[in-house]
Parts: sequence; structure tokens; C-alpha cells
Amino acid sequence: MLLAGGAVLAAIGVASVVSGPVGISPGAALAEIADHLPLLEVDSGLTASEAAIVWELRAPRFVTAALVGAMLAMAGAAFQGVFRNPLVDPYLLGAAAGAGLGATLAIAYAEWLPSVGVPPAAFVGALAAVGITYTVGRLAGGGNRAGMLLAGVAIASFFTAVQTFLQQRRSDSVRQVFGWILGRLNTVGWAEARLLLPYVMATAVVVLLHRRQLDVLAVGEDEAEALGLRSGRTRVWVVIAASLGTAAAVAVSGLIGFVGIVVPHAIRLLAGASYRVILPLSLLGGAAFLAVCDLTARSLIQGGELPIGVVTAFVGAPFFASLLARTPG
Amino acid sequence: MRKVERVRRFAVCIPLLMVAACGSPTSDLPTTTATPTTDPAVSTTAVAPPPAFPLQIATDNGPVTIPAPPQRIVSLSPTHTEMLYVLGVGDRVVGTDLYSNFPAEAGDTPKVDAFNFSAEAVAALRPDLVVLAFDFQGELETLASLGITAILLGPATTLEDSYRQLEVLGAAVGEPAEGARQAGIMQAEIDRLLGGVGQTTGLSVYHEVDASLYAASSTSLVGDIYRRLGLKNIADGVDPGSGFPQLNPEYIIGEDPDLIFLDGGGKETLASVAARPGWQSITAVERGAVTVLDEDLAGRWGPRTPQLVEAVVRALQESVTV
Repeated sequence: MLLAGGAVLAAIGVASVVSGPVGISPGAALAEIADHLPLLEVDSGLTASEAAIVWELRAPRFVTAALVGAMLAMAGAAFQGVFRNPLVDPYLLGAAAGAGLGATLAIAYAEWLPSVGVPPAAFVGALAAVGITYTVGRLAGGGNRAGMLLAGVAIASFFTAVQTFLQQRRSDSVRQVFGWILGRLNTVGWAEARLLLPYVMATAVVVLLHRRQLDVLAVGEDEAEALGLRSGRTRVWVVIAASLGTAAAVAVSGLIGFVGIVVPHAIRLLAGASYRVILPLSLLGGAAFLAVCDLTARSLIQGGELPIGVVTAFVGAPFFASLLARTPG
Repeated sequence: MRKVERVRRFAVCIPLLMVAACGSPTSDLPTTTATPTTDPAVSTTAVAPPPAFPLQIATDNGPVTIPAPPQRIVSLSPTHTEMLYVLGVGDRVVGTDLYSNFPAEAGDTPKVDAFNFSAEAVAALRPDLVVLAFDFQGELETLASLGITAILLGPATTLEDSYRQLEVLGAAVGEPAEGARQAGIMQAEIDRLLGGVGQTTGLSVYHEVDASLYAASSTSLVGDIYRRLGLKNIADGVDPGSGFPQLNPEYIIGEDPDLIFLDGGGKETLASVAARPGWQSITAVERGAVTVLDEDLAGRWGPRTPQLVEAVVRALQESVTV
């Protein structure tokens, strides 16, 4: 399964670097990529401009899309495990809205802050939002699914309201913030991919280390405690890691919806309910899903772009709706 | 400071997938100028008789009847504020939007926010005419329900459209002769500038609205200027009709524009554009034919448009001779 996932992702990667509005032969494009791999020296025969298109535009765009997708999907799966609720995702819990507010504050009010400062600011916002959602959701009754979801909706709305207010106060940078809110991958380069990578690694490691605990937790909180699991500690670590991943993804690419809920559920349908399987496959599946969506976003209009969030929601919204229709109780 | 106008335009356009031709409500309308209802024979001759009110004028919100010469005008659009002052009725302007900063005295008028529209704030200025460039949230309907006469003149997509708006506005405020005269001055100046340019065939242009690669196509005022200069606009191949399509960076590099114009609204410059991956090889970047346009000039379609044309022509001549 993991191997198959890896193969699919690699195939999408190949498709991403060989397709684009500028006609570059697939063989030459792949040769150009190979040339940049360690230990390989290949002459692709491309002009400097074509080489830049392949290596500076197509390649980092694919890598960034894959990293963002992997992060959002894994964060979604992790949140679903921690809250034992299949309908939560980074958006419903307010993590993305919190990250959005944090990033907006950083972009609009701290212009001296270099771009590496945006993800930490987004992280603080995400953690604050999830923390409040969780606290309110618990007060509404621990096992109450609706309580957690409603708390998430309320907190997300509140953070979004504050963000909108701040944007309107600072119209000079509103365009920048606005473009970012819609989700953007069209201008990302290696700088964004590099910015994202450490966060992805950290999140993936922490969440994957807790995959067994999440399975135990899935049985029920009391049962988990009886089995000797310190559920509170697991919860805190996983929530922090998933919020960090969400924040980094949101800081680089803006708000891209539905990846966090569509992918883990597709994986569940295909591979069963164990988090030992769901988590690593969500990582791969999320990467593949967003990379395909981005390829679609830049291929549908020849030479133009569709906002990536439009493509993910177009696929994700019907899926979510059918899931809702089938979820009992 | 029209960047916010543009942001709002995107805000409306993008969620709609740019299906609707946002920001160009003018194109399908007849281009008739003001016609007094009572005396169709009146025309804008050298010695214009006093205009007869009530007067019906053709606007982007259909024919609007102006009951009497407006004495208290509120302009919710920087372009039309500039037009009102050049028409010589600045002393009748009792309020402008937050971004009306030209001429300087327009900045001193009471301010209202055109994008967070408050009908009450507008009504408090007791206007007998309100001029708008956008009707985002049913502003026209709200003003109508308050019995306030309002006219909509949306963003011009051609130079003719901007001349026409100057004439329409002139008629609406009871100065049809001055409207026609100012439109004539504007047109003569632009024609002179455009006529002074030699052969440009084969040169291509990319006009960047913002760093997320939104471009202006020929379905925009600045695009119309490029079109008349004989330039090939690389955004035309991609534009579904909005006037401001979002381009793929690779497409821009592949099209290899000879000239690049940057909207002053962003913080982009020749240096920042040259630093983008793959952009060094673009002819315009190699030759330094990257020009930052004044954002107020590039985003308005009023009496200062000749200055925009002049800036474009100057950049073109420099790049052709270099």
C-alpha cells in the first residue's frame, strides 16, 4: 500500500514537471530534473530559460503542493483520532482560521518580520484557536461530537472576523493578505519548499510516533486509560504537532480547504480504520491529492490559473456531503 | 490608492470563478451621451444654451432622471472626483470616498467609505447626486429607496468609454459644454501622444496588476492603450473576459514579453521581478524594459489618463531605442 502510494506520487511528480504551457519535451524535462539529483550529470539540452521553467517553477511547485497536501491530510487524520470524531478537520476546529489570524498579524503589522517569521506566528494562532475550541468543546460535554464541532465553528468564525477587521484596517497590505487567503501555489519556489520541510518532518515524526496510542484512544477514553494510556499527554502532543503542521502549510499556501477531511476518509474506505495505516497513507495520499489538484488548477486554463482552493473544494465538497449522508447518528 | 478598488474587484470576481465579466458593466450599454428629455435639439455646440432640467442621462444603471442641476454632489469614486473638479464643479462636491486624493482639495472634503458603504453616512451629507463606480452591495437600490439620485459609471474598458463618462458627468451636473470640451482636450492629448509613436509591430507586453500574477488584458483601460500602440498583450490568450486574468508564471516566461509594466500598488520593481526564478531570460527583464506605473494613474480612467498614456509611451520609446 505504501509502495503503491509512493509510486502514484512519483507518477504525479513526473506529470507535473513535464506538463505546462511552454512546450518542453518530456524527456528533456526529466533529464533536467535528473541533472539536479545528487551524483548524476545529465545534459538535458534545454536552454537556460527552459531549464529554469522545469527546475525553478515546475519542480518546487510540485514539491510544495505535495508537502502542503501531506501536512493538511495528516493533520486532519490526527485531529480526527485525537477527538475521536471523523468529521473534524483543521478547518472545523479553527486551526486554519487561527493560523490565518496569526499570519495576517505577521504580514500586516510586523513588516520588519522576514517571511520565516510567518509560520511561527501562524502556529501561535492555530494553537490558540484549537486550544479554545477544545476547552469549549469539553465544557459542552466530553463525548459530545456536536459540541466540539459547534465550538470549532464558533471559534473559527470569531478568528476570521478578527482577521477581516484587521485587514480592513490595514488596506495597504490587504491585497497580499487577500491573495493568500484564497490559497496560492502559483508563485511558490524552492524557498517555500525549504521553509515548509522542517515543519513537515517534525509534525510527521511526532504524529507517527503516536499512531498506536491513537488506535487505543479510538476504542474509548476510559478503555484507553484502563489499558494504561495517558490519554491527556498523547492528546496534547498530537494536537501541538498537527497544529504546527497546519500552521506551516497555511503560512506557505494560504487556506486550502477539504484536503484534511477528504484524504483521511478516502484512506479509511480503502485501507481500514487503524491509525497505523491511516497516518502514513494520509501523508502520501494528501501529497498526491493536492499535487493533482494543483496540476489541474494550472492546466485547465491554458496559460492561466484557477485558485487551488476552488479545485480542492470542487472535489472535496461532494465527498464531504456524501460522507455526512452516510455517517450514522 | 485604488488598490482597494481592485482588491474588491477580485473579491467579487474570484469566488465567481471569473465567470461574470466583473468590473465591466459598461460594455453592453449604448454609448449615447446626455440627451435632455425636454428638447432633443439641444447639443453641445460652442454656445450651449442652459441645459434643461429635469434631464435624462444614460448611465451604467440605465437612464437616470436628474430633476435639477445638482448642488450637493457626493463622489464615491476617485476617478469621478477628478472628473468633477476638472469640470469646474468642485465647489459643489460635498463629500468623496476615502481614496479620492486628487486634486488636493478633494482630499479635504468630508469622507465616506465606498467599500463599507453606509447609506446613512452618505445621506447625512444631504446629496442631490451620488456618483458611483461600483455597485457591490446594492448601493444603488439603497440610495434609490432614500430618494437620492445616483448614477453608476463603472470602470472604463476603453479610452472612448472614459471620454464618454466625462461627457455624461458634465451633462449630469448641468455643464454639458464643459464636459464635451474636457473630453475633447483629453482625447486630443491622448491622440497626440499615441500618434507620436512609430512602428511597434511585433512587440509584446505584460501588465502585472499584482505579484500573484494577475494581469490586465485588452479588456481594460490600460490594455486598450497597449492595443492602440500596436502591442500584443500576452494576457489576451488567457482572459475569459474579466479583463484581469491570473497567469501561470511559466506562460509569462514562454511568451517572453518585450515590455513589462508593473502596477505601482505592489512593491515590485525591476530588481524584484528579475529575482523571480526563470524571469531573467525574459527580453523585457534583460533589457530593463520594466516600468513601474503610478498606481493612481493606472487604476483610474479620468482626466489624468493622458499622463498614464505619456508614461507608457515614454517607456515604449526608451525600450525601442535601447
